[in-house]
Amino acid sequence: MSADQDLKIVFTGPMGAGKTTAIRAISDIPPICTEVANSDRVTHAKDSTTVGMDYGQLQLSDGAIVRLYGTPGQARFAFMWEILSRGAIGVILLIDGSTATALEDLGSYAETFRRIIPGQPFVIGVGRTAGDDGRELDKYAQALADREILAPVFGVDIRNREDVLLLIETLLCIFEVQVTEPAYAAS
Amino acid sequence: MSWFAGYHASEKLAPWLNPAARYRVTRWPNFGLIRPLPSNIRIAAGLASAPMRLEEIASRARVSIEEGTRALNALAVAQIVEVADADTDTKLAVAPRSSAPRPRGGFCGIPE
Repeated sequence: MSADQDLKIVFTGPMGAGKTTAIRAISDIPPICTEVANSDRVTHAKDSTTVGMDYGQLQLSDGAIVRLYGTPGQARFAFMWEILSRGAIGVILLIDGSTATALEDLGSYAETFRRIIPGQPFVIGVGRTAGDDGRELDKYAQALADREILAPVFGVDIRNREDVLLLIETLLCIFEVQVTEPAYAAS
Repeated sequence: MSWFAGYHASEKLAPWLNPAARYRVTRWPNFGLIRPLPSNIRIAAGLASAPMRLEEIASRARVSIEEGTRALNALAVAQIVEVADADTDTKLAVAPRSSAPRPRGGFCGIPE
């Protein structure tokens, strides 16, 4: 990464997974949010929901700016997913592990974003998991493996800045490794 | 725990690993528990992108051979790396998965 680089990362996931919370936890600037009163209490009981996008920024120590875009979680705003994903280096997919549809959500979002930005990496953050030993995450990794996706799956508390930074750092490392020409390739 | 056991066990390659073999990760470590160094993440990212030998891992992830060795040992003990070369016959040790403490550390590039 270098100071003249502008990197774009998309946070996505179903309604209530913590996309807005994650961006708020790490943004260097006051995040721009488009939350309105939630009229879809069937999907999630929270008071407000994102209808356009969330936006935040993070400056790396070398001066590079990471632009953080959060998508709306509701499928009726899916047209925003493609718009926000243009030019993104990858996707951080947040899943609420306490919901009955968590695995279904993972598959659905992974398939959708694999189509929207093919070839770009995913990092998956699963919140509200039952255990803290990581075994709970096996089923998520397996669900991805069944779709021939090898992606990092971490248990996270999205309110925790360090956890969100881990997701971003991992995505940046994958991006860095992908764009770095291997020194051994010439030999 | 298995990650830390493998990582800190030795700066030499585990005896059941083959320095001439190319390895790849079969799944990512749960870095949410491990709290990795940036070099650990780069090594995992490299091995997720393509099978590599030890020196290739070190070159691609921009780490020392020792760091690459320790990470490869850790991945092997955690049973999440496999040989990708068809002509090598390296078996991995079987070790139980376990929870691990969460050491805190800063990220390279991301200010704390």
